[in-house]
Amino acid sequence: MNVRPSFPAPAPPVRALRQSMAWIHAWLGLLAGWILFAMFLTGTASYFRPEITQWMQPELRSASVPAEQAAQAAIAHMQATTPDDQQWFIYLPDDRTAVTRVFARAKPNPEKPPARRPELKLDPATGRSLEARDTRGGEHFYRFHFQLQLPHPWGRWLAGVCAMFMLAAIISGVITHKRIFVDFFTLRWRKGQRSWLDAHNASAVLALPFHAMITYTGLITLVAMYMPWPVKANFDKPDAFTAAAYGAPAEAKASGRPAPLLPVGPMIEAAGRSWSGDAPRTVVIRNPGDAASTVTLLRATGGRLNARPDSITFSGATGQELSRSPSPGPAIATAGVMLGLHLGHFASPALRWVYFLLGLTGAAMVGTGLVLWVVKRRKPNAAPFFGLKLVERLNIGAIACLPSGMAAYLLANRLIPAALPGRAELEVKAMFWTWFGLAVISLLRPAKRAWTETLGLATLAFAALPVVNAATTDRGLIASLRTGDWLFAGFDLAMLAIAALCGLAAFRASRKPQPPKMKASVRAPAAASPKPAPAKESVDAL
Amino acid sequence: MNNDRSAKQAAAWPGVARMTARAVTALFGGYAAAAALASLLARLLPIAPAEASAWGMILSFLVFAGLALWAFHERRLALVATVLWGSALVAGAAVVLLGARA
Amino acid sequence: MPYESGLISFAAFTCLALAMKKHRSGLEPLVLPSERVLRVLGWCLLALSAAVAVFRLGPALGVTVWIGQMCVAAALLVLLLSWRPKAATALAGVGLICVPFLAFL
Repeated sequence: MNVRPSFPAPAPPVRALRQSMAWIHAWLGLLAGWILFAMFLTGTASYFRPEITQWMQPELRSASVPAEQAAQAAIAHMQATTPDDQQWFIYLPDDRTAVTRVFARAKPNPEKPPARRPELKLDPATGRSLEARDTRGGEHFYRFHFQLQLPHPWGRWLAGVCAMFMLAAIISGVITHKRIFVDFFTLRWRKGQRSWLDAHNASAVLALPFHAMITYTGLITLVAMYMPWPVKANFDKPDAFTAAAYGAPAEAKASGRPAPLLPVGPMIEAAGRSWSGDAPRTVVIRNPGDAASTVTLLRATGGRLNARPDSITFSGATGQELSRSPSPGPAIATAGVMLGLHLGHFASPALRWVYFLLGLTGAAMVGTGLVLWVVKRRKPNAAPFFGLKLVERLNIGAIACLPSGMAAYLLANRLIPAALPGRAELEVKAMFWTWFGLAVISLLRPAKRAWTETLGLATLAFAALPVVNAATTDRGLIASLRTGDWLFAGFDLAMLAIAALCGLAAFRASRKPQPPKMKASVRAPAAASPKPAPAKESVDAL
Repeated sequence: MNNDRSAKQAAAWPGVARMTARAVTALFGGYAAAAALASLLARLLPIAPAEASAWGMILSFLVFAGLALWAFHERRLALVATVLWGSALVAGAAVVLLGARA
Repeated sequence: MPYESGLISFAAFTCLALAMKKHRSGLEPLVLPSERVLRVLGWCLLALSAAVAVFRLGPALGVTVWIGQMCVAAALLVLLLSWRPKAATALAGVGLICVPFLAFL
């Protein structure tokens, strides 16, 4: 296929469609591929966001506490520290998080705008403020996945454009691939370009429902930003849409008359009765201590696909129910389910691992596609042209260097002193300096060696994680296996598995390339047919 | 096929300009058309406004992807530009003239 | 989450793969049923894996879990088939045998 912006020659309709789709598929993948690979990898890691956060704060141990107790303990803390705030947000712990998180918003003051308060971590049982090392935790991978470490809103827009490219690449890829069923189970190793095409097809086709779902639902997660126009067509104010779709927020003004806040336990119980026993995930209290105070409970996702939480608002002074979210119509429910499918919060641990593996297939699809672009255009007896060298180097930087960066982020968490000020930013810097620094250093090495060495380094970095963890904390692999701490044991074992995967990739990259047999094997079916032309096309097809 | 292409590349500049126009039309014209058509759908669907808006938002990306891919399949650039920018203008104008429902 | 669904779809895809000429070689001592029998069996098993997931988890979550497990099963099968075809076939059989035990756990 040509790299210049020119179109394939005219051809009969079906073949013409296939050709134009193959052409645009290659361009879409090439332009967005490097960012998409990083989005896939960090997004896949984000399925374990709370677990990564827990691993990155080894000082904290989770203790299971009923929602009523955690909520009441947090409220006691807030009443003791910041009783005059306008709003309290309390994020209750569940079986994946160790702490209660609280955030308070001060009353607006026109003369002196109040400073934004930091989020606090509380002991779920006692409500005491917890001290742990400062870290972004799994939140960093999650944020990078759709903000790309760029200033708002550019990161989200860039991520959206890449997701749109991905969607178009999926559609054009399916149209291009005319042997989907014939080649469904085909994967041939050590056959040069043929193998890369097989691997790209297999990783794309076998997990196609996942790729299509995750791409489309990813766009839906930020649809209010990407595509606000259908809302504007019907509503003069976006708030009116929010109220119609998810129920009006109880924005009662403070009355100025003090009244004590009733215990939230009975409200949580009452909510549980209409939520088939589900506990709330978030408690929002407005105007605490005022006669017009309200307590809004947001339902935990539980096992439901729809990620838009139901909510019930009670009066904080009388305990009466004031309002509840309407049951959503089909479209709002569809959007909520799409959001839920993308986030995967509903997934049980086993299904979460399925999500994780499918996310890796997505990264493999993008990665093999990028490599295929280079392999296909490389001529055995000609010097590579500039674009080919550029793409190959960017491939090394984006595919082989990112894993080391992610490992460096986790290593930095254990190696930077726990009390050092600004350590959370240092951890993030460790990831990007390692990733981009390694990409620059790899320029000094021949491309083939660079693949092997950067992947080898990633192997070492991931293998080092359990060792460093055991050396710097008392929650090493052996200790956690002995105490049945499955989160820490699972994390260390997963790091070893990822190290093994990187090692395998490094080993395969180090092997001598097979003589380009692919021409013969691709031509084989064509040799039987009278016309030799289709053989060329079947390679061009992707 | 290759000979055909190199002949075209000899006169490369108009080709590059045309391809740039096509890409801009596909990306921005496609977005504008998808946004306008989705908005028009949301405005005209005879169901609750919030529901109609949600259907418009959900379907918009599929419309965008389809239009953008078609922009690279159809060889007549003038047709592509007319359809994409034209539908964006017409549907957009219709939405503005109809005004919001709530 | 029922793993039965994934195990059944692994066996289903194995049948469908072995129903294709190009995947039938290299399994020598094994005598395979005819292509047609395998194809019908494969589709039936695939339908069964969907039914199991939906029966266990209800339509919404069931279909989600089924598709997820089916994709992973297919990907694992293709990796294994390209490397150790005999082991892949054996694993499909072992998996099917495990299904009833898992179902009554």
